[in-house]
Amino acid sequence: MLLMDDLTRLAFADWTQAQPVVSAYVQAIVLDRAERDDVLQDVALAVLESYPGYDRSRPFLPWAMGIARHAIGDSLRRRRRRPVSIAPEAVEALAGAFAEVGQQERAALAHLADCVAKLEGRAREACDLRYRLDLKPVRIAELMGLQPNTASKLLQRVREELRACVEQRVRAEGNA
Amino acid sequence: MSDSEHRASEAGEWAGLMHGMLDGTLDDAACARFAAEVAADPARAREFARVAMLHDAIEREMTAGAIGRSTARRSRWTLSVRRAAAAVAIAAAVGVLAFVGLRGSSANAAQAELARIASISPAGQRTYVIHALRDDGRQRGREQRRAEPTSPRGARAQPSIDEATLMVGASGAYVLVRTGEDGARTVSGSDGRLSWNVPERGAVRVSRDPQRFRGALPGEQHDLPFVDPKDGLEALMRSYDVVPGPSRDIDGHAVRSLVATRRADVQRGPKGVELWYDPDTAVIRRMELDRLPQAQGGPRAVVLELLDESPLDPRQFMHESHHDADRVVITED
Repeated sequence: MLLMDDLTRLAFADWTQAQPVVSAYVQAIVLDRAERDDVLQDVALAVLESYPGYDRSRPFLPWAMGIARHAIGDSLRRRRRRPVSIAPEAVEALAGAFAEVGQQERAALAHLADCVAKLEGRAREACDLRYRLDLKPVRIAELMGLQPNTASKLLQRVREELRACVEQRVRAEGNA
Repeated sequence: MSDSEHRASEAGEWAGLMHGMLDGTLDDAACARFAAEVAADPARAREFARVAMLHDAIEREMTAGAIGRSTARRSRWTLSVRRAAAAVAIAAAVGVLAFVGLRGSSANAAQAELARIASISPAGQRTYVIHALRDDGRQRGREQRRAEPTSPRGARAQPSIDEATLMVGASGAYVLVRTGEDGARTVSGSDGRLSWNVPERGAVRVSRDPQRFRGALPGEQHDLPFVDPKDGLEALMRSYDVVPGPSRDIDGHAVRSLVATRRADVQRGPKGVELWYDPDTAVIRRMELDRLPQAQGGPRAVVLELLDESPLDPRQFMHESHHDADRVVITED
């Protein structure tokens, strides 16, 4: 029977904390869920394989983001996709930005479930089509009888409202 | 424009760039503007990171459901960990969980509608034409088909599914006619009992397994059979989230649509399927299979369009109708 050793246990614990941030970063660059999941698998494996060499006195998230940045490049080259649509310096700048804000955002977004539960009507329908069914705004507009630009604006407004709801809950938690 | 108006306009434009980036709606110029902003301004890079994390977290909230809403909330971060951890051995140690999307009332109605059309879907005779689509959704031209290899390098060229004709009969009977780039015709099919393949040259092959030559049919390699509408529709119900789509007119027929998206926990099959069907007869007039797996080459998307509902001669489904009497016929098993 295989037993999980202590190092693997530590690696998994660190990865569990970092994974949502890395996932958001990869998704923002590759813009495709299936490819994001493939890249995340590659990153998870690379993290586990490289973990014995990781200096635990340094923060884990920036280290994992570095692995993710390389995995994105490798994945796109391997799949012969067109080059990343944004410049490498932007990809690098974003890796740093996600590492900087990641853990704080992760904590704040713990309130998101309550905010999503309050969505109603067209806001919920647009979110359902965009996020559960992974449809693009053009298709959402067709299904909801909207102009494409209106569907994009509706999604933007829903996200901004969810952000405001999350921030309000964080403030309320701080006051309590 | 005052300074405050200018700042508001700039902020609005930046917000539009961020959200457009995440929704994949930016053109190349806007994408370059976005990249220049985040590379030059760390504050904007951080702002985008926050919006992207929100975007990712909403997806998890909207797709979590099988294990209950409250449980999903408690473990919303570990939900996505499962996705990645599945690749590593330690995934077994943290348990096996599955994603099944929550279904709203419109999705329930769509599933009920799908069940209804599966139950009345006629086993009549229909002829479809198949088109391969380009990435932008338009049909591929002949020049593009010539330019794109349909088989991995070194493998023998396969006849293209693009512009193929599919005749569907009763009880699993079908005939698929494909033409290669060299004009060579390959006809494969089944009478529901025997299956067969008739290449332009060489031996005709016949098998007692009715499934034997169905691999070339769209959806067949992906557990989404189309020859028997009931099987195909039931596969859709099992593995896809379905919502009602718009109605429209196709060739003078008022049709309804269902839009199906493959569930996150399902590995095989096209990512999206659109069915356009006659609500009274359940005849499928158009079916689009989008984002087909590319591992074995072939088009990214295909469309099947109903050409004809005229009765077909039953002999059409027998191989003898598609080759000369002196051709060598090999019975495989």
